[in-house]
Amino acid sequence: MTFPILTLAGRACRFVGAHRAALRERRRAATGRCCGTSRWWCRCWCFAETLLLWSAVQRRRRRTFSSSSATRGFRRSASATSSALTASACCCSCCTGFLTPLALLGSWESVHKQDEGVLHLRAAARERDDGRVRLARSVPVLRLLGRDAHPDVFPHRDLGLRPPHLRGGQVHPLHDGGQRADAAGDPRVWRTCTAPRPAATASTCCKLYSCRFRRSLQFWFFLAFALAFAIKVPLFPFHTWLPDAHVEAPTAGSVILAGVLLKMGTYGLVRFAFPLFPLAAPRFRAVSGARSPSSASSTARSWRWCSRT
Amino acid sequence: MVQPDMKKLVAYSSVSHLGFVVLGIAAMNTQGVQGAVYQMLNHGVSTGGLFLIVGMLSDRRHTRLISGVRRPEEGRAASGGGVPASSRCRRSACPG
Repeated sequence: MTFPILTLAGRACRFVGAHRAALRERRRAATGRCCGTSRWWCRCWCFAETLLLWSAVQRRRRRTFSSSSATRGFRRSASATSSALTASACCCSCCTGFLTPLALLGSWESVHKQDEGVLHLRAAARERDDGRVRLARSVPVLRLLGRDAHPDVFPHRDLGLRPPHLRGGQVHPLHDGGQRADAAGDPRVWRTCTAPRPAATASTCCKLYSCRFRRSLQFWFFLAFALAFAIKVPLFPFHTWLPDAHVEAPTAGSVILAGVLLKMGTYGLVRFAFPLFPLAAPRFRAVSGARSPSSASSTARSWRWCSRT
Repeated sequence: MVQPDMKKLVAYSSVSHLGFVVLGIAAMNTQGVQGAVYQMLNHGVSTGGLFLIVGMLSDRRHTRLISGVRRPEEGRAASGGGVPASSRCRRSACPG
């Protein structure tokens, strides 16, 4: 059984698509050109989105590196891993900003042929809502980057799949407790959770990183996280979904899948698996070379520290 | 070549790329992580471009097989002299 909002969205999508197609037919009959203006609008929009991504990354970098009083006591490896985290996030953003216009323009005709309602639906949703928040939520990298502005890193609340009051007040175990755990059973929270929230004092990531686990527990947790992200990356024994997905996907989907979505696995490794379990991570080092395991462990710990700031 | 499908070929190549990325991250030193990040950027740009090229070719040739990409006259002879390639190019997936 599907949630009725999906059916509603599909109907609205079809309606909007048909409306826009009729408009385009009229315009084509009038001017004899195939929707030149909307193509230009798409180019302008892509450029604006790239600019927005870039400025967000720049703001994040400035905020990271301006806290120099806190970073003063740490070693060079700390700053290096911090810049690696920032750089991997920046790399994902750049890939998104660079590949999205390419993919959109590259598959322009196929989008027209098959399901043109989707783009229009997204544009309509973006016009309707608060522009900044909606755009930030539609880009997963930005969600992870701006985690102070959007404290929950778990997007399942906003997806419209299962509201918390249908789950019987059960909160995600990794979700932060406190005030929202009390109010999770309240249907009003579900209704207002798309509205901009007041700024949180500490983000969910900070609370996650402040957890301490026992050494044996860390070992198994690291294995579980690494397995999950290895399927996402994909690493060798778990890679069989990738060629099938690429064969089934259209060209734009392949480009975005290869350029952005596969990076999410490695970003998750750097973000979650290594810094959350600093005692277990050095056991799985790839090279046991000049640097001792203790320094590797300190590298993992510095990752953890850098993610907290 | 063993793999006849172009898209699967590029997909398997991206598997090997990301294996090296994870190897660099698991090295847990500065050089490894920096190389991993740089390789991620490289992979995004190069594999995205390769997938665009594969999409363009498969839109023009209506097949993703490597054996389907030949010279124009040869391909036309093989497909029984159908639509010439220049008219197929008009609605291709190639940007510009």
